[in-house]
Amino acid sequence: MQCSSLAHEHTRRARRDGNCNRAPFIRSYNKCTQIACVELRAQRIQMTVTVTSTHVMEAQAKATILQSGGGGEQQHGSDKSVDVAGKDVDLVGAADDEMTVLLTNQNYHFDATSDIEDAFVELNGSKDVELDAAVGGNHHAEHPQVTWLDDDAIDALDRVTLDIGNMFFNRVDSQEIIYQQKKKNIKMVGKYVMGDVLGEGSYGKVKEAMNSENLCRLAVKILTKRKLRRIPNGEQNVTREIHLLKQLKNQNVVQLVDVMYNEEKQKMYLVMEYCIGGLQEMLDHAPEKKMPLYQAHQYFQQLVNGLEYLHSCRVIHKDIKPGNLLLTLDQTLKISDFGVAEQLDMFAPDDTCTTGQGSPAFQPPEIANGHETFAGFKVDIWSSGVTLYNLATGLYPFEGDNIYRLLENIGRSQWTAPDWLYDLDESFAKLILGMLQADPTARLSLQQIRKDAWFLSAPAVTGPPIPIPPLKGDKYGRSTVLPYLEAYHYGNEQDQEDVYFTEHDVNQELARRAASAAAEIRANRNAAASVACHSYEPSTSAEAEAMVNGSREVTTVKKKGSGLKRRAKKLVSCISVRKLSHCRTS
Amino acid sequence: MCSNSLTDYQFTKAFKHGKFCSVYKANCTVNDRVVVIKKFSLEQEDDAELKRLFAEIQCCRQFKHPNINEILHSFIVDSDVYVLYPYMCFGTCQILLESIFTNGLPEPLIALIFKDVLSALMYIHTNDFVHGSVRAHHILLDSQKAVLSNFHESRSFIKHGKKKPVLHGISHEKNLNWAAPEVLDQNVHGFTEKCDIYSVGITACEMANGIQPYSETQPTLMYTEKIRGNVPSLLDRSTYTMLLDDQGKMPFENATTRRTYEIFSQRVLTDDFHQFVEICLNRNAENRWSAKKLMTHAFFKQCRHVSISDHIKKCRSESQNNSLIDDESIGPLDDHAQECREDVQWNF
Repeated sequence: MQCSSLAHEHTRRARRDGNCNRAPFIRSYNKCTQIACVELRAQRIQMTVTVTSTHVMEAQAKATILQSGGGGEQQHGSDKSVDVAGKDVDLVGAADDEMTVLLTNQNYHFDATSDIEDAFVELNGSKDVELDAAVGGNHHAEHPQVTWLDDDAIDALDRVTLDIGNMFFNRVDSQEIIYQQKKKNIKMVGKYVMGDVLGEGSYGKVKEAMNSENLCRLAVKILTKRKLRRIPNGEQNVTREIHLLKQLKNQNVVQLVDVMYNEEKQKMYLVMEYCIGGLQEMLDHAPEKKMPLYQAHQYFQQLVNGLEYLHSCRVIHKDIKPGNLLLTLDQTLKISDFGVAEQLDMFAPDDTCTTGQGSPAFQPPEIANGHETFAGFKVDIWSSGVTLYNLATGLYPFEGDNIYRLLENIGRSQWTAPDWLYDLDESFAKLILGMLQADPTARLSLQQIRKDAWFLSAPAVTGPPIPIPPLKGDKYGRSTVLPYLEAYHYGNEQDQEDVYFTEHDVNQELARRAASAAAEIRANRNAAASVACHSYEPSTSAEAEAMVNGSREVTTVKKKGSGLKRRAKKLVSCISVRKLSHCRTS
Repeated sequence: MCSNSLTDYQFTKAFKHGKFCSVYKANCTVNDRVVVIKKFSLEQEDDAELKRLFAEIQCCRQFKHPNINEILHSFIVDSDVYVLYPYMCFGTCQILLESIFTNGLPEPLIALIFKDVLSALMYIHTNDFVHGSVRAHHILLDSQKAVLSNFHESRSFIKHGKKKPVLHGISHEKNLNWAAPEVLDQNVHGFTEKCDIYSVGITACEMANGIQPYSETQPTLMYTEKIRGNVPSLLDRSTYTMLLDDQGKMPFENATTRRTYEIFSQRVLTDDFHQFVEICLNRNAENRWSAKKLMTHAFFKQCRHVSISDHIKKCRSESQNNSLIDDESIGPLDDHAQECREDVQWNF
């Protein structure tokens, strides 16, 4: 009977985290710390959970707002939960700088009265979930209680609940999960002022930063020893990457500005030049996940320049893919992530390599087939070919249901360019074919690519380029360090008041953003369609685009305003909660 | 044409001796012309400075305008680059501010200088270049005109045969205080040639007040101030109270500041000047006037029938401590510099 009462649970998290053992109440939202609801009733529940339906809005939100940047160094994700799913416990720990407190309140209603349309969880099995009630089991449901948790408590809770290794869902009304906006307290590492988190990888976070002396925008990759130890060869790879990056200095290779260590915190900071986004994110946000041919051409030329430099330094990148190609503010392409790169010995007779650990879809046949040795430079050529094909068509030359099928397909036979590719652009198809030769000796070299007809051509401008997706809704890509600096220099004059908002608000906000993003995509499609109808005139359509941008700006501003209003309204209810005796501000 | 051989130059004075760059005054014996020679060492650990120098030489050689400091010639001897500039007798505006006009230049002289500077800016802007570091230190004066120099921060909208709509990249650390907010912001929108106009506004305050703006401010505070649209202003009778604290007293009172304060509280700068600075320091780049339009501003009405040398000579005769400057020298020459000059002479 417990099970049936749980049938309509609020289990957004279950869907989101799918198969991983995520604690049900904890997830992170971009600007605020999630607070866990602690009052778990001590009870044994027998259940397995299968997710049967997904919420449409939520799915859209995931697609448009969350970024699954495929391992790029600076993934500018606005929400970490997707990234983190399946990694490990540290979701809340990871978000620690961003948020503060979590409070929970009231008894949980184990009934099915509200939010029917939310998620449906089918309970059908029998799995023993032994819930550790020690977490704060509180049976006095008559008194609404608020428990404030700090980051450590959340972390601890996270571990406790996760260690059980099972999923357990407790119903918490989204109105009852309350976030407090984190105060922007300035944090300096050396001479660098830290800003918001740009993205996250298995090694740690990437944050924006600013050099307080020359005001240069930077990105800082923060590596913690604890996390590095969990990655196979983690520490070795990082040492090698730093060693490599220190030697490299080229317009199309990401520049390592500084390296700092904090022995006490067991952290390492890699300060790098700032990039506004990656090609993978751009593709993810573009309709049909591809970019116009001329835009791909522009990036490909820079990729070849960068690769030529790397190869001249005897460096084989081995992991060329859109996710590892970043863009600076002025659209300069930067090759990044040298985690699996290899530098040939100074006296090596040729470019023979023995290890390849790149992304499967971009691996050449010689690696897919498990050859013991292979020519290193040609690996990068193949990956660049797959990358170019992916940029321009949104497809992969080889696909497979799983990694084994994929590698099998890559290794099986010579790829042939589909007919439609020849129709698209014959010289382009020939170049791709040349770069995707299964035989490394027949594959084009960088010198040959430089002489290629398509490479030398200037493809016609066929429409507006796909844009770099805005970071956290800021289409200007402004520095996220600024709010910290303002708080530091002027005190918290503008937000003396604590700002509270609930999970419910967050969800509504996500839904709203998803809706507006969908509307935008629709508008873009319409625009694209109308552009396709008329012949493209650069000047006029640029103007039109400017107008569209302008109007969009106005609408987003308005929406932000309404969002604030909504929050302000909620504030009232939250404050009433705060008055309770158990309240304690952090 | 200038000679490539060092023996054709007679070094008469060393202005500055630095690790990377030394500046000398010299006579070119071939055409009997007084020139300024900058000597740069090619043996640098970091080649960034050299790259900037080469970019500057390349860029300057494309310009031909009376108000742009031309490069007469450049050549390499051994491991040093020698760059020749015409000799400007009054030196940079910054030296004038430090030596004679410690409480700021007189307004008519500022108008004369900016008329020339704006005509130079108009020229480079129409050629799709941005100067990027307009400041008193980069404006040179002789008796006839003001010229714009130091193009090592300049950028072109045209790159690889394509014209870019906006520019990106932050200024050098030393020039940050003069940089426009949109340059500091480093966002997707980048900046345009209007960033030079903002720097003109800051430079106007620098020259009128005799104080380098933000010189005692943390860079990060300078950044947030500019982003918020706060700007320095001209100090005269209408605005001098800004220097005071809440109680109406000078924050750090001593004889010099008291005197400065008195000068500010007595002088009157024209409304046109105030308006000119306000237009230049508009937070929104699009609302700033272009160099061409600014030249038509009423502020420049006072430029008629006067020349730069009249003003400087007049002020110098008034000034008590004119020993620092004469027609021959544009900067104090210390013993160390003297020694360096010996070295150079010994070289040839």
